[in-house]
Amino acid sequence: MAKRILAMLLVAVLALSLAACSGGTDTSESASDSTTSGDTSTGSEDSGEVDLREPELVTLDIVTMASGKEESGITQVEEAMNELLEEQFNVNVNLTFLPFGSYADQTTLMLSSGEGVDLIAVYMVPYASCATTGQIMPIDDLLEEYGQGIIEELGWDMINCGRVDGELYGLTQGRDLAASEGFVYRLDLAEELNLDMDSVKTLEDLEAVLKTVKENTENVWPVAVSAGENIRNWGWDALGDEMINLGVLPDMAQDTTVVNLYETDQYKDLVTTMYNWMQEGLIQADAVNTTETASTLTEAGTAFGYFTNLKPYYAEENNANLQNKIGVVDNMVPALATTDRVTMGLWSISGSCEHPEAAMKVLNALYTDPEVANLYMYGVEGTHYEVVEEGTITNGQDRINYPEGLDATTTTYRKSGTWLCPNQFIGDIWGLDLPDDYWDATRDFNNESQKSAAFGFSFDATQTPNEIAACTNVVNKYHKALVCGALDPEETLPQFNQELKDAGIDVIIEEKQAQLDAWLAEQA
Amino acid sequence: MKARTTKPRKWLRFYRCIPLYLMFLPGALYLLMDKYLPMTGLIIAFKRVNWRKGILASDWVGFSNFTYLFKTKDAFTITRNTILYNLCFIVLGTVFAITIAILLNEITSRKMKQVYQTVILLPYLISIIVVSYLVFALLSSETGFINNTVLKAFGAEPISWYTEPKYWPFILVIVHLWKVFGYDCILYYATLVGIDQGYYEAAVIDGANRWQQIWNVTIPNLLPTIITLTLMAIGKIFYSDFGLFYQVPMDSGPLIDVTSTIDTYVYRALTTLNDIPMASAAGVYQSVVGFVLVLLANWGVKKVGGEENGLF
Repeated sequence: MAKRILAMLLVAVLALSLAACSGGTDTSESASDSTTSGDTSTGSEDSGEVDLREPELVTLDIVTMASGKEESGITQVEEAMNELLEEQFNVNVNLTFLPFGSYADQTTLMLSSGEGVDLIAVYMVPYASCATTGQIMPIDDLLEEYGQGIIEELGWDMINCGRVDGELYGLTQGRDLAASEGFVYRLDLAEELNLDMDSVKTLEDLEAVLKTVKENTENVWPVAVSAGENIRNWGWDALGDEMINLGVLPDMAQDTTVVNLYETDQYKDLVTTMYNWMQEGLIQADAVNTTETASTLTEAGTAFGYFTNLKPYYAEENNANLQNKIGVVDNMVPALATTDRVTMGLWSISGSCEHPEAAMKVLNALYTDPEVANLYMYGVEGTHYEVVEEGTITNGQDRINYPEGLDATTTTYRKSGTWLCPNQFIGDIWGLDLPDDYWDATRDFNNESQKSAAFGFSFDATQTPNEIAACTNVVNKYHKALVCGALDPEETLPQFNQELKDAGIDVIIEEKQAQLDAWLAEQA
Repeated sequence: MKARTTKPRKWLRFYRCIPLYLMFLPGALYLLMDKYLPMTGLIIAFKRVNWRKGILASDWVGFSNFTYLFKTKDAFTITRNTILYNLCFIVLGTVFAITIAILLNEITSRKMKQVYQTVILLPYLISIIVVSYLVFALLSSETGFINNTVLKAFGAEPISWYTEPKYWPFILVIVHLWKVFGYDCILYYATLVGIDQGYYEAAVIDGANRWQQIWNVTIPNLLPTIITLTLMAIGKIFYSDFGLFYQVPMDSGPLIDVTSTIDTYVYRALTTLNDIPMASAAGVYQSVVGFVLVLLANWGVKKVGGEENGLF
């Protein structure tokens, strides 16, 4: 009897371990019979003769952000991408999309466990600490060898922003790399209420408009917030982490003295305005707790608008996907280019990636091969989009739109969060509203925006880890709630700053100033 | 001679017990895998972990991962919260559960008894995420029942519940009690049912009224159960119900001072700082202080209630 039980247990253990093994090694197809190198139609790749194919079929997990909707079209896109990538590199991809609301949490856990991630857009998690703890790997050599196309696309100025302690860990995207701050609102309501949105230039102007909205509508919040975050930046350079702003250059960042943002008048004025607005019911009452994004609420009709960072043709770009069309109050804070803006989303190779070369090759394709990039960003032609005008865009690509009968809510591969994809500039343009030279206009915007005095400087946070950890806890307690207007600044700000002092913010500011001064001396 | 006889006998005993050992094996393995193996992870708290080098090869940094805990009053706050909330839960929870158990016992209709038992057990079976939204439905400033109906009826100003820390100690205790009392009271009720009816008959003959019966018969009979359950709860006093403290306040920043316990602190440290060594440091702190507390509690119980009442 006992023997039989033992035997059964052993069988069970064996079966389990076998299952585990077969799950791990997924190299089913061999690549023996393929001598032809990949079809090197990939524009700027200068390794035409070299066989870039991996000796064995490699599967890479690619992680980025999108809407939280369940998307059935992903498999189809994977298949189409695999067809291209298998021929060129003998690589298959596994696409993972995470929603905005949980992106930071989920990617943190992914990166620390190293599971299910090879290529990832590091966004809203402390990039530098990912780098120093080895969660993502240094890519200088890989970039030199397999990423010449990327270098050509981005340029060293932008690439260098991603350095931590002199080493490169992540690549910024082809997207808007500066940002102006402003307000997005629903056109239908503005028209219905006869609001003169063109004359709105400041928060005071906006306040008057919002009050009209409040008075004349029911169950519509004048201002909605995204997952508890109302305004991320209002014209300062956070010199590091925009989520916590420990030691910043305030007031459009032209002076190189690092100060505590939470003690500045700029911050106090902003949160006082927000507090007054909350008191008057202009801001979504449950702002602190909401897990929805403001754009969802606006689209659903329960909000009038929201604050966001802007770029040229913001409304036109988004309206292609919206039922409730939006308008924009731009330049409430003029465009500012900061290192953070460039590094806010970076494509990195995870520290646990077993095939970094393959990952860099795929990344290079995503930056340089319009076919691959379009697939990844917009899906399969004919299924997820159809071509409206062929080749009219100034980069030679097509103008595309939803196919007959599909829209933003019914599509199975939603075009959202494409700004975080590696390179929009080589791809198609979605919708009928954007001009043909939209990508060029964005490039110009990047080049012409006012630059922070510390543009290019990245803070090395590893010198003061304890102070940063302690201060982060304090900031998480107050900052978002203050900017939502949920806390009275008269009471809270002094307390907030006292706790920051106790947690050692002065040490961080001193260290930041020293590093910045050294960097400035180097530049001169 | 003697050795020759004992050896086979010992072997025989072992042989006979093999099924029992096998039955014990899964539990032991589980304990080993779930409780003891993870302890090796303690070293993370003393290292500057670089995942590319691996945990073992990373540099040792002594206690520097712990400094941030004690830089602010974080360590104090989370320790205070964890212990005070749990003490409150133990005391109020026991009183509440016993009261309900006695009340249940007084119900004579079999059918009604079953109905009540089911109804009070239901909250225990609801997922904490659902509970957090039930609470939100009550407290939301926009659509909440309390702000829009209850306070309005009294003509009171609406309260922004999720930004006012002062109410939350009460809210959390109420939510906790509501959720667990049904389950706790089952244990007491089971003991109550087991009390020999003879005691009650004797008490009635002596002229005891209902109240006196409860006080002099029921409570003394319940005492061993109360002591065991309380001791077990004290053993876990340094561990908090993550769902209750993280989900129910909806991770609201302004509430952190009163809702942060060690478990939620470790989780937040992990997700917002993305720093596993520091998060582990908070975990080690929890284990060490928890260990000391259990020893102290056990020592205290033995001192007061005699050797046989201690857990070990």
